[in-house]
Amino acid sequence: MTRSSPNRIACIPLIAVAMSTPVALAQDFSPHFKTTGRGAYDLYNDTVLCSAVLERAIEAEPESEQLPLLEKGIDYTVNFALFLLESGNVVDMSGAILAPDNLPIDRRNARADWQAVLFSLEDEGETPEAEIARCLRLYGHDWE
Amino acid sequence: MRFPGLSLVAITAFAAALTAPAMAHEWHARETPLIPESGPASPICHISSGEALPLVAFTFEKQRTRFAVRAAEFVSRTGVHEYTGTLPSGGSFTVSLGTDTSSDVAVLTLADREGGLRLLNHFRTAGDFSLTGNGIDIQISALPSASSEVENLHNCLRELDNG
Repeated sequence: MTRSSPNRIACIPLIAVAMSTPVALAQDFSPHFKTTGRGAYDLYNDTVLCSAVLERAIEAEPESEQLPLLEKGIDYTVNFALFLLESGNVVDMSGAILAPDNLPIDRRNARADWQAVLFSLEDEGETPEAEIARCLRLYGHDWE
Repeated sequence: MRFPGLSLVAITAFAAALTAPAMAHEWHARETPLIPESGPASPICHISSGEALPLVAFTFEKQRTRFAVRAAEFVSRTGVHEYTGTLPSGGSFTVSLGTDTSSDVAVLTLADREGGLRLLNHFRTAGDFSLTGNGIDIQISALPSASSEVENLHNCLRELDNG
């Protein structure tokens, strides 16, 4: 048995705070929806939702200066979602293990969900920029 | 007549592209509310005619109901007032829709949930939807019935009210 370092224990709350910071900073409707406590499932849902956010960003502004980054983000989210599904660790609320076959329908549903959020934002005179920025921070990178 | 530069494969692919059906409208509703993790926004239930544009949608929060249309044609409109529409049921309506004439999305906040559900009932019949005015003419031909997804929506609304 090894003894845990006190430093390591102290780091855990700090890491938890750091991880939750983007959520705490989001003041408007965040694509970060309520989590279920099923880590891989929550991560998968957020990844798929970010894919929808970035796809819609391109549709809204096809000539955007951010286009290369948005395309990278979509590529990353799709590959990462597939990676999670292929790991066999994404378990939904009914206890079913989600397979790669689930991705197309989940992406479609995420686009519908995000569209509903956009209707609310539009009606409130708000923009989705904060959500796009959050998704780009997480996924606007090359997939390796 | 021969087209030396055009292979049979290319011709076949071109013909297939020409005959490929446009993305179909397919109603979709959530069974459970979308719940934001933080911030002042409320949980949302929604039902929409799918991804194909133009699309119509309804969103429901505890205190607010919205009817929305998304169409590429909106970006060339000249105003937001006095649109006239026909519904798949055969009914007609006149509304102001949206606020931003540069957006492809136009949203109408309805007085209450019952008003939204009454309007949604007009989409439980398959039929044509149209919206005209302010320089635009939006048509959705043969929109399927929303009935198959309305039960999902009602499940979602029950959870929204109990949550």
